[in-house]
Amino acid sequence: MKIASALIILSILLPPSLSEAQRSGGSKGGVRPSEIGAGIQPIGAESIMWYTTWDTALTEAARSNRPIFFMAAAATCSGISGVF
Amino acid sequence: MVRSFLGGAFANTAFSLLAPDGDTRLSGSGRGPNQVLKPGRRGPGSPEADDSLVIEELANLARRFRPKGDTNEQTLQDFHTFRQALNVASADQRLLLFVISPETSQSKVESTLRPVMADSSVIGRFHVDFADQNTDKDWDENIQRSKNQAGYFIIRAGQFGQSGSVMDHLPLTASGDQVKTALLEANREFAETEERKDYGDHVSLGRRERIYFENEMPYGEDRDGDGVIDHGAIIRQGGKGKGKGKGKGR
Repeated sequence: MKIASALIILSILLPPSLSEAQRSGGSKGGVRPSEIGAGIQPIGAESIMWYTTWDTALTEAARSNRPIFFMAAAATCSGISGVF
Repeated sequence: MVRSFLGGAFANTAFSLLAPDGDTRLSGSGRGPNQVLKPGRRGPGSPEADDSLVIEELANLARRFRPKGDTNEQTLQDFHTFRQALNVASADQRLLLFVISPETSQSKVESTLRPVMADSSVIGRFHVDFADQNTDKDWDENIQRSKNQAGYFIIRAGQFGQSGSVMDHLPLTASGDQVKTALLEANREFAETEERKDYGDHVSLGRRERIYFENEMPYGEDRDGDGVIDHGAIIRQGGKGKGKGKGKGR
């Protein structure tokens, strides 16, 4: 079973893929930007199809009867856009 | 909503699993799946924290529900604003399909797009946003080669998601196959020319260039749940920021 097709993924901003530092939890006290590195997913490759608003996720969950993987995250790092 | 998952506190991430009704909780809640789901709670490095066990737990939970409906009829993605869509497309490093459509054509456009976006060669490779008459009036202010007219726009976001360029533009009369072909061609070019961002380098560059993204969400965290963002605590923790974003949480 493909998880991404079995659950509705609602994420206010989930990364496309996790680096080693992210997966391991990083250093004690939380992951620092310098520990995260780059995602391992090739650019342009299939990744998680996720919904970015509560309304669209809820509509799709009701339509398809799939449970919701809810993940909220800020769309910036220290106010810097283009990463999360 | 985030506070409801964090016992009244506010932090930069929140996670939970919910039933399709959006209300019934299927798991506890916390900062992320590895904190909430049993296999992940043993801590980093332990065999129990292995991703595959977390995935297995998710799969077991999903099996409790019988999916229904045709995937070709799936709900299309949308964002609150074009500005946010561009930022997320940049962060995810995916192309953005931005659709400007008069209300009278919206239903037809959605019917055309649903099977395209559900196609196995397309799904999970793009973001989609529909223009909002109120919030997206100036969408093309920082977009190169844009045309402020109806149609499908395939947009490549810039490094910080505050600018971009149109890679292709199709009229709303384009067929699903035409849209799909244009998306795949643009994605091929994108994959060949885009480099995966390094998180730390990106943030360092952003600090040097004083990049700042105004957001409706408050920056910082309210860890004690008193309703006030703990700016002081965050500044002491971080303390490296400069300019407007100084010391504020993610």
